[in-house]
Amino acid sequence: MMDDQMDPILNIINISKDFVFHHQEGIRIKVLDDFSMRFFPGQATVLTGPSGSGKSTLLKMIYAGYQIPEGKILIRHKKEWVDMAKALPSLVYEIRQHTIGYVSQFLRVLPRVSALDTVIEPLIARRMETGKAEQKGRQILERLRIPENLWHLSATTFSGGEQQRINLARGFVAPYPLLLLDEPTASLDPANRKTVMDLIREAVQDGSCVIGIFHNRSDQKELADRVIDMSPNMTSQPSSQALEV
Amino acid sequence: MSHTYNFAYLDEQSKKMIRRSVLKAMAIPGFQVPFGGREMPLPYGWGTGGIQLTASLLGKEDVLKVIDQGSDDTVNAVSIKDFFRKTAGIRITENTPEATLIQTRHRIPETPLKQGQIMVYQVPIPEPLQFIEPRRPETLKMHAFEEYGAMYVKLYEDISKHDRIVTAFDYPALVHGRYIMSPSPIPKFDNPKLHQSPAIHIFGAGREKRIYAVPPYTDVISLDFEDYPFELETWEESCAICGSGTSFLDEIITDDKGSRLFVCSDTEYCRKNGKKEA
Amino acid sequence: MTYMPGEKPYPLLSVRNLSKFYGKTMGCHEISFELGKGEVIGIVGESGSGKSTLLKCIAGRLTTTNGSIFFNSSYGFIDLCRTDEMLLRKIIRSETGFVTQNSVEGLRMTVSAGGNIGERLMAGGMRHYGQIRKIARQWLETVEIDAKRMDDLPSTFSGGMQQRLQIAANLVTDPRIILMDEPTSGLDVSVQARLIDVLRKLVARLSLSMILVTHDLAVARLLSHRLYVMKDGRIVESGLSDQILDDPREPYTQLLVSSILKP
Repeated sequence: MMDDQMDPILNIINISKDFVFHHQEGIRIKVLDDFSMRFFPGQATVLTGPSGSGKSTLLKMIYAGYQIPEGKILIRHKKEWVDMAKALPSLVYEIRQHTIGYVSQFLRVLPRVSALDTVIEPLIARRMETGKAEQKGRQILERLRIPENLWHLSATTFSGGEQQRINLARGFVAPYPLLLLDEPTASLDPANRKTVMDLIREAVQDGSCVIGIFHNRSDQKELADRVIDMSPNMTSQPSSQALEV
Repeated sequence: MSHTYNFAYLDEQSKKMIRRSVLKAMAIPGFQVPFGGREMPLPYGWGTGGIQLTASLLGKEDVLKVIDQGSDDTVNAVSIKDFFRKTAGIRITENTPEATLIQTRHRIPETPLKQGQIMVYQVPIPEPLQFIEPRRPETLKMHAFEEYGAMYVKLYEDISKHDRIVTAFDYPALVHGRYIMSPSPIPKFDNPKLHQSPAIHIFGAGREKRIYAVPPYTDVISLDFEDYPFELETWEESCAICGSGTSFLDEIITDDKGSRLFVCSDTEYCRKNGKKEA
Repeated sequence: MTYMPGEKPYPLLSVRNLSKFYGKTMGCHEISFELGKGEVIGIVGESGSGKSTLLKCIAGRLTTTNGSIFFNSSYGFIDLCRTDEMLLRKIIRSETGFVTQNSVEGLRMTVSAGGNIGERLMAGGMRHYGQIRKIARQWLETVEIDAKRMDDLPSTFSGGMQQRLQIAANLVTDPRIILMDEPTSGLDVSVQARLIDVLRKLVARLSLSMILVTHDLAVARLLSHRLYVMKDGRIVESGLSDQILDDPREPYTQLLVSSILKP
């Protein structure tokens, strides 16, 4: 629910992004053009649009996983505004630990790390006591129907769907004020898809701002408080709407 | 045509050069001073360093004693005495308190030394770090910067292999709280004799061309660990000849059946002590 | 790493305009960067990029031609290029660590594993054999070497074990920064995985600051927070590790990233 009096948690101001492929004849692809938007706590936003319209790119830029050459991406971190475009790397890492969570489509698996340890890593990074962290990890692994006999194994041998659920477990095990989800329900069966939608809804109810990409229309409808269509010609926002800080 | 030598064989310029090195060595206790070693009429490994020192330090009034493994009458000791008898004509003795200069290989006499006596040691390998760090430029820096961790590593390795520090001779010692030196292959039994000794101790390595020294009344502390302190050798037996229970004993196999005798390594001390007992 | 946004933390290491020339041949040129406490920097590039040269300059193993290396040591924020040799050796021995590519250079091969780890302790004045052994045993466990091998010579160890022994021998004095030169090169993949895991855990547990030189981008991504890409002795691009690897801007970086074969 959007309260106009409430402060936004994320304020994107006039960002553009293009990619230059130097070794492919210098092709230049412009993915975002002068994009601005505000996002609020407790709000679920769905990004729609065709492939190549910049949905994943936008999420990655918010996370500072892509470089931000123009504009500002202001995130409210520990009661202060931080521009992800200019923040020092150590601050970016801190923000990723405490403020912005990101579930991508890829899980980077390490051969000697158990599934449980992979899932609770964000809690350990927040200095939670190991026993308590493991308990939370087990709860969410159960919820996502990962068999208990797999918890101590490394996820390198898991199926694609299992790996995706480990990824999701890791994304939801710790609360984040801002949660970025890139196709979280892809390759999930109906039961697990419902669980993930429940997890997202719970996060929103707890006050998280969720920005997600879903290719499934019913997921989009079910979740969104707001839909942003990233198709070309639809993404420009007048800059007067952006909050200047 | 007989060949006439300069007094004690070496030319005066060489002696001056060696004396300068000795002075520097005395001024920096335990520090290895490089010197321009001269060609001597015996090969390396036979005491060329010791002989050059003796040759430079001898004066006409000096009384020389030479021992080899504690004994006055081994081939080595006798040859060196002959050499100086021929080239310097100075008085030779076996009586320790009477000698003004004692050249030695591998032992310090049992009879305590007095102020005014000079001990000259024959040294094969002057560098205590040699086997841990073979690179000379690196050991130079280690000595210069007092980086002696590696020296303790050697002792650590001993204990880890044999449950005790097995280095029995050439036992490294810290001189005047600053430089670690190798006291030449004397048994560790003799190390305490260097500590606060009234005599002058000078060490000469002919092949490596280095001289170092311990001036009188200098601290010489053998290295050890807190939980593995420095210990002297002891024997259950006493000397079979003189009955001494306090001197360093050599073990001598007397027949093919393995019978053995323990006798003082310092033959002169043994003789005197035997007379006393009698 | 807690500080207000915008406030710059006092760096652990500040390299300013560093150059190393061999006569007219350039090793590295005009290198500047900073490293904070608990940060891991990866320096990547191909052979001849100058990355190992740069690392050796920072480790004090090569004299520099130009520039400064400021290090936040226990003696203050000093320029290692202008510090007298005795103090420099002391600082390098107790406050920095250097793990070489070739273990023969980084270990005493004729000294036991325990002796190698204990050397820095003994150099620092520790004189209790039992205590030295206890600490050595703990570190062997930390780097996952069986403590029973404490008295074995490193020449009997596998390549990966030798590397882990080097790490233990360097970390025993709790250095502020550790420099690693191609630590996984020449190791079998399974052995690499173990080494990387040990390093990961150490970085997390000890808030270790590290500079890691590698040509392996996967290792760089796994371990480092930030990357510097070097070519022909210069830095061509730098930034957050995932940014550099997922969104390379410079032509050379793009070439490097796209050249990796994915199994």
